[in-house]
Amino acid sequence: MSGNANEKICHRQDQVGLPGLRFELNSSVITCHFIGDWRIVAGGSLKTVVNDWETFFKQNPGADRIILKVDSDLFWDSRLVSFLILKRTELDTQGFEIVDHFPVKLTQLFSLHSAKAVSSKFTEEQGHSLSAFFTDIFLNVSSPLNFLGAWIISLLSIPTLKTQMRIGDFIQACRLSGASALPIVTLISFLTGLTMAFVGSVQLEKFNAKIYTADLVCLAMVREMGALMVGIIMAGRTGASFAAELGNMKLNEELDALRTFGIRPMEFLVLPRTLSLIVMVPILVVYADIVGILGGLTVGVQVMDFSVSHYIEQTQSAIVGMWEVFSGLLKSVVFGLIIGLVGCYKGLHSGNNSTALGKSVTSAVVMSVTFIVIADALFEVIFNALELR
Amino acid sequence: MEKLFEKAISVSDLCLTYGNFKVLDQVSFDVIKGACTIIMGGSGCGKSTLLKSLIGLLKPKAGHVLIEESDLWHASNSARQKLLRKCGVLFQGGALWSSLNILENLSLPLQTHTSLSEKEIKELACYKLSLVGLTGFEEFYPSEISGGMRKRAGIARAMILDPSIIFLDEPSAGLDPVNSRRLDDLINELKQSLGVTFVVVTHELASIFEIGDHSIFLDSSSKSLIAKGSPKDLLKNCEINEVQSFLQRKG
Repeated sequence: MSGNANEKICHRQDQVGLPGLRFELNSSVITCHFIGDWRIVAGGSLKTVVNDWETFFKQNPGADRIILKVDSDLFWDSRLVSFLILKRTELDTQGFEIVDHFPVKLTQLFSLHSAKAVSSKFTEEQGHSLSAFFTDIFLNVSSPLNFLGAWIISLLSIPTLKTQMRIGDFIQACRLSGASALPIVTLISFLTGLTMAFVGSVQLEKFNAKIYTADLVCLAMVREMGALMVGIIMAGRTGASFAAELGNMKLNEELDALRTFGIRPMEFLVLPRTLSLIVMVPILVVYADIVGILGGLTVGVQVMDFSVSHYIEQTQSAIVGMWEVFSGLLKSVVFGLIIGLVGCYKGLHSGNNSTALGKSVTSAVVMSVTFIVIADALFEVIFNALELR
Repeated sequence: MEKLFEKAISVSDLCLTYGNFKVLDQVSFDVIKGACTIIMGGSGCGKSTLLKSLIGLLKPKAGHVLIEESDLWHASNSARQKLLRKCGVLFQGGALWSSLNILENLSLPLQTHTSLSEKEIKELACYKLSLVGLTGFEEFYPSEISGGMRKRAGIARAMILDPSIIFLDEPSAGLDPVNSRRLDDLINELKQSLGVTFVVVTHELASIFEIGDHSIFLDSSSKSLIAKGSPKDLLKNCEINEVQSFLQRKG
């Protein structure tokens, strides 16, 4: 092939205005002319061009030098640059000697790309390496465990009185996560009790057992709904607020500032917040249980014509032992812990920009609610297995 | 000449990375006690990363950071905390704790690390605030004061435990020229009156020449330290293109 001097092979697209190529082969030297319109606005597909390119090189394997020729009157933009970058890299790896006959502007764009490509190459390689993939998985698993371990250690520092947690911060966190949540907890719990009474009364009426609506509302609230509803409210309200607050502190380097003064964020920030939830969520659950029962009472008295005393007596008889109440409270302690830990973890590990902060807050709520539902199901399975129900 | 001076910090063969990405390699320099050392270089050359390593926030991949002759990164956690007690830091945005007022921001480190009475802590905090010209702003929250005031409050907080070394990360960033100049004057005054060692990360040329006694120049392409000396000497005598372009603000 290399011996066919002055042989000319032309490949071009039929339609004028679309990008195309024209090849000339002289001994072992290929001259590639870029023809047509190589701008993005010209449209068309580069598939034909790429096919022409590949076919030509398959047919002429003896060539070892190529002249890439772009005439100064050719219409081109980044479409041509991107094609050239790709093909030049291929030619480079095939060992071709490449000679560029480019207009000045195109040459400038090429040298700009080469300079940037060198600095970005390393990062790209790192991003796609297999070890980085496994490191990510390892960090995703180990980081929450590290956090949990550090939290337990900081908890153990409280009895030794060496903790950096301030009692004032704990009280403030209790106020914010407890007293401030009362209005929303009242509304949701009352409506939950009310709705359950309505739904239950319709079904129980069929069996002439309307009075058992009081049993239904009471047991559902103390065993299940009180803790679950408060858990979900607190995840959306307080868990999100913890994540946003700590994430914002990280963004503003306030966490770094604490560390430089030897103040441990785990003790100073995380501990008062998580402990406040562990204390306040059960209290809110007791309150929610009472308000939910009052919601049921409202329906019982106003709609089903029971007397207040009759409804309350029936409610009392429904609770056979205090375990019914304690089981709900036990759940609520765990829910409080979940909300606090997830909110604080997400805040402390949020990224250093506002988008990442938003994601952390969303993720804190979603994770908390998911873990709460999972924990609730686990509790029920365990209680049933232990014949506690 | 430098060997005649006492070293506050000695950095040797420091290599800093983010994951597998190398930021700086083989960085060695000394910070002289009582002087102001500038860490300079173009954007993205690793100035703030180096600072993080000097203040105990980023563990180096290799090398040593000696603060008053004790190795920061090869010490136990408690020893490192003790060592860092000798350092005060002003972060780029001030990093004042937003939920606390200015007085509480200054009081917190004292409450954590000393057994002083609340009255004495308040007096000390007020004194430090007076040094930076913020008397009367004790009850203000960080969001209620200007950017320049936040920086000054940040310096006051950095000085609260009477550190022997104060690190400042881009103190003039985001400030107008007048406030920037005032901050430079404040740093010079504090250096002279308190004898504190300053390590300042900045790329503000005016500040570099105003406050810098010594400087090191970091280069992003070679990921290393390429020049050191006083800023004025570097301007006069350094033949490295990057340094001259930077100091003469050439394109």
